Amino acid sequence: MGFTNMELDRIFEEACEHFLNLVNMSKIDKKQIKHVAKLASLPVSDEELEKYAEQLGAVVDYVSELEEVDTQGVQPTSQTTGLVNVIRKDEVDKQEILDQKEALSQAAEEIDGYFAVSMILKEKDLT
Amino acid sequence: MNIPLTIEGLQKGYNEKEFSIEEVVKEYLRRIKEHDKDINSFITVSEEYALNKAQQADKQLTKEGSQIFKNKPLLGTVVALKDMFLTKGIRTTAGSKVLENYIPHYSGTAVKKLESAGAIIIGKTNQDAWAHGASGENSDFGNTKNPWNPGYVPGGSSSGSAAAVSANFCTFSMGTDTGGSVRQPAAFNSIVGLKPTYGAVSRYGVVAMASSLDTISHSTRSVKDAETVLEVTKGKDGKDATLKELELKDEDPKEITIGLPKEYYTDAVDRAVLESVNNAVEVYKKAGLKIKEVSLPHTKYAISIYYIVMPAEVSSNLGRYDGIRYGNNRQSFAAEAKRRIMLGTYVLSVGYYDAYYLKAQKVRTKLIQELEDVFKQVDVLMTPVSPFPPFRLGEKALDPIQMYLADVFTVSANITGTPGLAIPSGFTDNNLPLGFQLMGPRFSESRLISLGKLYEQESGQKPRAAIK
Repeated sequence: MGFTNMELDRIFEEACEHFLNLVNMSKIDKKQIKHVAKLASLPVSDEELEKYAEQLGAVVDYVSELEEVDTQGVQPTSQTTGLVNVIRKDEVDKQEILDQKEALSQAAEEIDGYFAVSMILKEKDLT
Repeated sequence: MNIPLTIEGLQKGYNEKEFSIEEVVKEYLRRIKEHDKDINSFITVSEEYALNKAQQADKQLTKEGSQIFKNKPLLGTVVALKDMFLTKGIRTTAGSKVLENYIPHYSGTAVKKLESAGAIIIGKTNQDAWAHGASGENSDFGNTKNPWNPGYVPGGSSSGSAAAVSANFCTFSMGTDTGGSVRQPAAFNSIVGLKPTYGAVSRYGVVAMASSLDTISHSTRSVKDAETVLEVTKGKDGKDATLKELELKDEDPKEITIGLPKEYYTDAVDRAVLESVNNAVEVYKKAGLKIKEVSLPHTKYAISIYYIVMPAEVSSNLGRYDGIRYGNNRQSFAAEAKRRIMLGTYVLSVGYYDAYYLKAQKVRTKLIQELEDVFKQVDVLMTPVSPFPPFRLGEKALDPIQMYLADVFTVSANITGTPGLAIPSGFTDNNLPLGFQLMGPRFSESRLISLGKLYEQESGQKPRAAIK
């Protein structure tokens, strides 16, 4: 039998609790979690906020072991290729262009050949 | 009919007219129909597409004869693609409900190259959603089961791709390896898993997880097949700017010195795994290779680096799913993706960037330097793939430390951009697959492949399928 996402969620929660007890970790502030959710544009319920405050705290505590590594004067690595400024000709490959119909075909909603998005301005802003 | 287990065997059968390509595709489809209800390795089976392509390929073969294999080295082979690979006209979900109805308008570079070489796409395989997981249990389409024993996980995140190969539902499969997602399931399925050097194979047209770590990888039933597939997938495409030309050549494996990093051989590793790797080391010793113990003291930080860099890049890559242009909205992300997006956004946010993300990138540099130094002493490293054999469904989800450890021996290759080759090395007493890993410097694939072939030859190991 497999697990549903809800069951997995519950298992992970229990595991995190167990983990918290083991490492005696700190919880991240709920207000902060709310802010992070907003930055990530992620719909998060109050219940989830509580959960993430603990779970993220546990992971952050774990990875804090990196503090003990001396990195004085060490350059950060963001990629491993050693390549810099890779360029190509600025040419259009007509076979790789989507026409308007194709580009819109997967859209949740279209209006007159445009992607429909939620209104971000209020009525009063428009007048 | 019995489908030969290697590319060479299959193409020999075509040449000698033992069977047609269509017959082989039909037999794979029959096997999928009969057995995949118990394994759940496919999200989408592209039956009609595959049969059409098979008929075309048979015509080409009749017309041009065996000469055609020179230009089309994968003609008549059948590939299963992890559902991260965009396929024109075939649904691509990334294992997530966010993309449950997404039908791409284009195929990625690797897929195009495989198709031009004659490979036939039979379907899209199940995976942990967005490639987040090590057991297949995070799929929004139900977990995949291990064909060797359906009570056990097939590993992850390329779960279905590995299971489809060990169950003989296809000739080979494509996966993505960001922290071990092809090598670990390969070990769990008694098949070969090759993660090439970062920058050897184009990532264009593959759903991005963590862009500085993602590596297009594949699973086969022999090392020779892994080489044949890599010969096709590798190379610049003018689209992925990280690419360099990888050259494959014959190397004499007898000249190679193998390093055993002592940090990988500890009490924390399951006894059966250690025993199996040590037996494989003995095979090389008997063949006359030099073995040397080495040390990689920063290895223990690999997981921490990974759990900062990976979610940071995940949160950035998953930012594009807005439910406006394609796919469902952000409400559809399941628990694991949400957790990683939250964690990544947190470590990248103002005030924490330096402490976590930048720090991790600096320790990453140290790990790379340390590995470069070790490769001055030895030519390759030999390690376990996973610290434990396949585990029961649900078992590890209860112990987060064990779950973190699942990636401990594989993430280093991703963090340092180096290649890794997972090779089967027998079974536990309970008949669960075991494997070992060969690691080398960047672009040393030929060395790993020649060593892999030597192991197969010296140990007498033959390709096997889990399901008759």
